[in-house]
Parts: sequence; structure tokens; C-alpha cells
Amino acid sequence: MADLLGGHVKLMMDSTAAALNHIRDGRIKALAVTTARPAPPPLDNIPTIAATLPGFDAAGWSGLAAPARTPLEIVAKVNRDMQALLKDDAVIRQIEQRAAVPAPGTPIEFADFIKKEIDTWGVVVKATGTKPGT
Amino acid sequence: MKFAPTRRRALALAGAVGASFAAPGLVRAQAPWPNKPVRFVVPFPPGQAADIFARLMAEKLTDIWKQQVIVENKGGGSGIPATEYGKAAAPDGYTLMVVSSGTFGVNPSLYPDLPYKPLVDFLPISNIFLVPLVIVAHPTLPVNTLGELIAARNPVSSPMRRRVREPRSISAWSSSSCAQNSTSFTSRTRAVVRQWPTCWAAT
Repeated sequence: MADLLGGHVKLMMDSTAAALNHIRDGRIKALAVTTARPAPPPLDNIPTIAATLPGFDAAGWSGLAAPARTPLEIVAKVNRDMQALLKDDAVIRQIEQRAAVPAPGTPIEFADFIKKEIDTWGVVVKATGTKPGT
Repeated sequence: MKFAPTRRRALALAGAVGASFAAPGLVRAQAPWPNKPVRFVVPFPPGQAADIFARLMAEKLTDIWKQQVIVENKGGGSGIPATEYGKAAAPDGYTLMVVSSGTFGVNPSLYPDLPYKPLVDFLPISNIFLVPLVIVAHPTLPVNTLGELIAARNPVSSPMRRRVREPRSISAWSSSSCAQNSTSFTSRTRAVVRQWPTCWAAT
């Protein structure tokens, strides 16, 4: 992002969360978002890629995982406490203010989601011949 | 969404086992988790989405657990060294790994020798957020829409080709940057994806 702001890089893709303030300040211009639905306000005026390339839908995400063999009761407790936070109005507002969406769920739902992501990206990497750093 | 009944039972069982340890007579000498600071390892530098929301969770969980939750940033190498570090951490609940579309979603396909297996070396706990990614350009780039950007690929007429000669690296194409549903993956999309160098690093 620093390279884009400095003009060393002309074009890039980043999360709306990281780009939000720079877009708002007019230091960079936003061309399109990757999700099928527009980004939350105040970035909801940016067109979707899907408007030009129908069906395009991708999002960044991150969550929490524990090293294998961590006691399951600790995993369950951390999950419980995180669910409470991700459903708390004040926390939801803080996440939405950064143009992101809270993604609560059980450990098993998260495992299923990760598996789907790995499958999806496997297809994309194969179809595009994408290589690291190319 | 379907749940694997055996794993669901395993978690329920784990809860029951935890409760029995807390019962009188069975109390272990050790205080219940967490009885010391907990670390969240973030495989990216500060300021990226994964870091921003890991810090938000850390701050709130510090209040709930009455134990400091420390965010440790270990950026670089597409998040691989940090995730390998998280994999090697003691499985005692005091080191938890922030995982992402890049490190868990994309890296397994992008790096044949990836030194970790997301669903083998780690136990998923919970996702935190989803975030749209956005194609952003420097104001001097002579394109204002995705349509113009795609058109700019055409040699001959492209103003972009004249002004921006083969950008050597377009950084921070994040993990989820170029994908979409496999079913409607068009050759046009492939062309767009191929056009832009990737650096799979942002989230």
C-alpha cells in the first residue's frame, strides 16, 4: 500500500479495511470490489467485479486456529467467547466501520469453510497457472 | 450446513471432560486456562485486515479472560514462516494462530512444499471476519473502471501500456484477489488474472 500511495506501484488489490481511509482521502482510486455484493458503506458506491465479469465472488477473511493437540475444551471456550464478541452490537459496529463483516460460527463450520476455500483456490490456481511471485 | 456428528460429539465430550476436572476432588493443581498471557500470532505486518481484527479480538478477550492477549506480528514469506512457527508452538492454548484466506485458503495450492497442512496441523476455532477486496489504482493511472482496465490489456490502443510498462511487481494481490466460483470461471477472468502479477500477501 505504501508503494501504491507513493506511485511506485500503479495498481494493486487490498482489503477494503486496509484501503478505506486512503480511498476516502482521494489518495487512491477504487475500481471494483471482489465480492458479489457491494462493500458496506461508505464504500458501497464502488462497482463489483461481477458487474463486468458475472459470477465473480471472492473475499478475504481471517480467523483463529490452535496448534493440533490443543485441548478441545480450550478450543471450545475460545470459540464460545469469540461468538459472544462477534454477536455483540458494539463489536459488530467496530468491524463494519472498517468495511468488513463479522463471521461467527462453530469450529466445525470454520473447518468446513476452510476446506471449501482450499478447494476453490485449488481450482483457480490450476486454471490460471498462478505461481508464487509471478 | 451439515455437521460431522462424530466431531460434534467429540467437542461436546471435551466440554464434559473439562467440567469433570472442575468438580471437587478432581481439581488439578493447575488453575484453569488461561492463567497466563495468551499470544495471537499474526502472519502479517501491522495494519492489514487480519492484524486489525485480531487486535480487536485480543483487546476484548483480554477483558473477558482477565489475562493479557498479546498480538505478535511475524510478517513476510506469504505468512508461511509465521504459520510454521504457530504449528510448532506448544499445544497448550497459550499460542493461537491467526489464519487467513492467504495462509490457509490459497497457500496450499500455490506452494507444493508448504510446511504445514491447515486442517491437520491446526484445529480451527472460529472465523472472525470477511472483507471485500478492492482493486485500487494510483490517481495517475489512466483507467477509472474495470472495463477500461480490461480494455487496457489490448496492445495497440492501450494508454496504460504506453504509460505503465510491465509493472515489475504489483504488490499485495491478496489471497482472495483473483478468484471466484469455479463453475463460472470464464476465460476472460483467467485473462485478467494472468495479466496481473500476484503477491498473495494482503490478508
